Amino acid sequence: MGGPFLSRFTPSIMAPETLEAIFVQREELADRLIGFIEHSAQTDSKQHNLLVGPRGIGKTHLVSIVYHRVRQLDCCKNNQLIIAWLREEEWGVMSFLDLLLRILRALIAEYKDSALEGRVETLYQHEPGAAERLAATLLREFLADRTLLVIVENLDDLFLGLEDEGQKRLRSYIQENPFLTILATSQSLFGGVSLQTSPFYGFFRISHLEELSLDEATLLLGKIAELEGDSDLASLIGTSLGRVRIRALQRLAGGNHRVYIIFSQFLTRESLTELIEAMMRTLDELTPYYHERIRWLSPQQRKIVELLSDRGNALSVKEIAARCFMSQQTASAQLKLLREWGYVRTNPVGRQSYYELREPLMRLCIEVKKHRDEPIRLVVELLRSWYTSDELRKRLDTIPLESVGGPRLEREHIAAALNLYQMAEVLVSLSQPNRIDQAMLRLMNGDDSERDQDIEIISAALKRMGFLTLRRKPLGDDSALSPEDVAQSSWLKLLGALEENEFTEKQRSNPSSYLYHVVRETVKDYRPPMRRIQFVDIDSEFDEEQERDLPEYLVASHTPSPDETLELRLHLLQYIQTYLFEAAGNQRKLRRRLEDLMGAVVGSGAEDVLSEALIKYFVRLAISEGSEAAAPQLKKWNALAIDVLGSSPEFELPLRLLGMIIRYLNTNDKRVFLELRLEERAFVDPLFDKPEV
Amino acid sequence: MKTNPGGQISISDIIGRDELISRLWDVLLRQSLVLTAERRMGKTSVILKMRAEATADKLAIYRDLERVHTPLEFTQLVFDDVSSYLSRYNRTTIKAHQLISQLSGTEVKGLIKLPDVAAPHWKTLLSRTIDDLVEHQDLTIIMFWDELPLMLYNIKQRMGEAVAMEILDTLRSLRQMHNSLRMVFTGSIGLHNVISSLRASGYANDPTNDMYTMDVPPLTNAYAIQLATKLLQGERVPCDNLPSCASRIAQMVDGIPYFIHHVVDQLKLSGETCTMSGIDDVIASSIADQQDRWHLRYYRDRINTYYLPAERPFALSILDILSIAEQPLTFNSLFNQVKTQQATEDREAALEVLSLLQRDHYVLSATNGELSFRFSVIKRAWCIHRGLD
Repeated sequence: MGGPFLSRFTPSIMAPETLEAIFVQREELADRLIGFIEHSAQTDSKQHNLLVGPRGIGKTHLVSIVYHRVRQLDCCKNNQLIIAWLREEEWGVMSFLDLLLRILRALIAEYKDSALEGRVETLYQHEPGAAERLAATLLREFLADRTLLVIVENLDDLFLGLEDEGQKRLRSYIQENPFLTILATSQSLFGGVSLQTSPFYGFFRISHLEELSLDEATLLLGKIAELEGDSDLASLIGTSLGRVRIRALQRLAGGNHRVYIIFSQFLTRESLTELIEAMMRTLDELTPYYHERIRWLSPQQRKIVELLSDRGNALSVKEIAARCFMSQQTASAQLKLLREWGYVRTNPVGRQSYYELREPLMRLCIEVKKHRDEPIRLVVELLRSWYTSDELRKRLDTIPLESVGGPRLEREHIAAALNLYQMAEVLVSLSQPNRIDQAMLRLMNGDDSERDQDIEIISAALKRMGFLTLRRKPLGDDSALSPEDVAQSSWLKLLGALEENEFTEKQRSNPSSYLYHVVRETVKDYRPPMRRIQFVDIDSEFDEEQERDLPEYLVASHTPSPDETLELRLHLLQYIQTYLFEAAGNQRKLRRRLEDLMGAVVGSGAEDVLSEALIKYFVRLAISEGSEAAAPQLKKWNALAIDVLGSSPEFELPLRLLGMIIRYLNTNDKRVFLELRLEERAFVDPLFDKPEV
Repeated sequence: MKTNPGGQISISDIIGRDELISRLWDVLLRQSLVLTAERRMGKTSVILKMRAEATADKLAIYRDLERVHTPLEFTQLVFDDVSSYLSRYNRTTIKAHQLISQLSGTEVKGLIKLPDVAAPHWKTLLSRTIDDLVEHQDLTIIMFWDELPLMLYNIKQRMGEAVAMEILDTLRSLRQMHNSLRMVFTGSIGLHNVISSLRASGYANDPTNDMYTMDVPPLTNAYAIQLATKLLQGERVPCDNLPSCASRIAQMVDGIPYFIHHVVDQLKLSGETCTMSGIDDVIASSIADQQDRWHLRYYRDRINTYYLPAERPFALSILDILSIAEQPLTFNSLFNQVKTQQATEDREAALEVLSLLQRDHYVLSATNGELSFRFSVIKRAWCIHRGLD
């Protein structure tokens, strides 16, 4: 590789062609802005635009694109329009005079005008009042009849330095000298433009920059791959694995351009070490920035930010006030400021507002520091999406148990990710269900052509069962029997059964039921743990429906690749929902199926699959039935779910969500969902036509 | 024509103000002007157009006074403008120069800096500067002073209300002294909002009572339609029926040019064909916009900023009632409803606040005395921001 330079923090220093090559999402906006500027240069109308968006959203990138394109316009080439670009680093502007000097300096830098430089130097010989008047005149004279495009980054900072008086001087100057057109950026709306008493109230045409959608992020990464000639990345993006990784990244990035650019180089890395190190390094790099931002706040504001970080979900002003031991008026006033400064976002519901942190990365960086002893949830999910379980296990093995600091944190992240993995592995046979069946058939029919391989397949399947039993505590008197014993016993009995040909024609004709039956027979002495790996109640009547539905999903024949994991997960989510929907009318059957599902996943580490499937199922039920019919059904479900799932903390989210959906259906009040974290809330988006932002 | 909400409009793009401007010139033949208007109605555009179109017998000088925080700064600006004009004819501000020399003022590259020691003498300096100007030419002098109320507000904050009043008194005395001198005061807030003593005195000793007060109204329906049409065409917004769409826009935003620009801007952004329902949607979503792109919260916030604590409950009640009233109300009917919201029998206080609300363009009084919310778009925003159905 080693292609063009991609700056992560200062897009303005990138080459124009590089900027263009990775420009996404805002083509139309860029065209409009350029149109406004061109119109300002050609007529007496002067347009003033303000781009608002949090750090890393691509403001400087957009402004740089506009700058380079405007330079190619005829009006710029023939000097009708000239440009002064005040970059992000223009700190220390404390007065209107300072601002005039920065503009003049920017013009000198842009046009290498030594005569102007000489005149600017003479300004320093005067006291500030006189220097300001002379600078204002100098700028006016320099421009003559031309239009000046002033690009101002971080207008909020600039206005802070100018204070009210400086802002008023600037406003008057613009009013009296209509040769300026301004393109400014700001991290958020700020008092200088949004307070009705401020001089620039209503002055700018404001564009709020949107976050990247998944498709736009994919496009961006595709462009980065093309720019850098990274064929690995280009081909990865087209695969479902690539999609998984981008999706994982999106949860981390929250649609932030910069994070995608930072992480694009790691997307194709298969090395876990590299990714974790890169992530930790990036978090490390960003942490001082976020901490500096937090340090800049007053103690009261910091308290609110920390509370929102801890809680993760949106909170009402009342709750924030109570948790921070402050009055509601104080909390409200502080939140208003935090919102203006871009720290929090608000979710208005009726006349109430609910607040949460705006940038996921800020939460992550706070989490790193605050929850030193716990894995960061988003990182864990990222890892799981990124790597196979084998890779994670291998990596885990290289980190000593007694490690401390970074390695210990890494170990915990990997362990947590592995926990999330297990069910997907166990159930991978969904993607190849016939493989085991075919092996069985061949063996039963005396076909020894692939005997070794077939036995290996079935063996692996049973080992997988054994693996599952390893994860459980044997119960009661059976506890003497070790899981390994059960696995071995299962295998032996299976072979015996095959040899003794002791199955009926009916069972023979259905390979799935055959396997099921073998397993059932082999484990009847060890019911409690083994029952959990089967989807059907071992004591219930053995019927064809159960045969057809379930046993083939019991076993795995190999370790899944990430691609298969995704497919499997989607397939399984769909399957579980269908499985439950089929039994929806029969409470007893529903209970049995839920217990079976529960039995299959608990302890496997894949509880999240069932958890997500249940959530999707509840939401689907609420939508498909309509609120009147769904509410009583879900209420019944609630009682059942609490009974069956209630003791497992892994199912706390679907249970909590179920309660919320019922409350929502009864009250039609969206606020019930604000107790959820932003990413959790995405689950219930389908309930509404348009998700709340 | 391109949309430009909030920006500076080219003189040639100012539509529908010719009749008003003609009336303003007529007034200026006789006396000075206080030009009032709701925010974003286009006051500054009107006076800039007047300056640009001033006939040869007039000397029009424009200044934005928002930046000024002291009487001396104001004097300096007037002095700069006068000096600049006279220097074109190789003349100087002789009388003012003499005083400045005595006060050790300095000159740098032709710009004279009034020294700080001149601060107590600002009135004399201002008078002499105007004297110089009047004496050196025969034109009618028109000083367009934009945002004068904000200058007074700045001065009041820094030096007290008495100094701000002194400026108004001095300017009146200059107007009385020089027949050829006219002043045009404009501002986004009313003088009554800045100087409470003006309000307390009920304008009895109003230092602007020699000036004619005129309102800059919204565009007439015909001109509002014309503006909307030009913007839709200029921005190449496809319309299913251009005349109907332009008419709908004009009607729904009460002919206020700022909002017309905004609506067309958003229609352009949507990239869809403009329809009547599309226009209604844009307006409805803009009024309810959490980001408040149309800056409509201003009308609620302004009550807290410029109304005295005792006046606020009346102002809120009156506007709440009028915003949900289906028909215009008489004052008696309105006051009865106010009494259902607060325990008061103070009719006079209610009348005074009503008068302020009229002056601040919230309330319109019909010829039969019936009262209603003046602008439907602001009325809708008020209902939303106040949680009224």
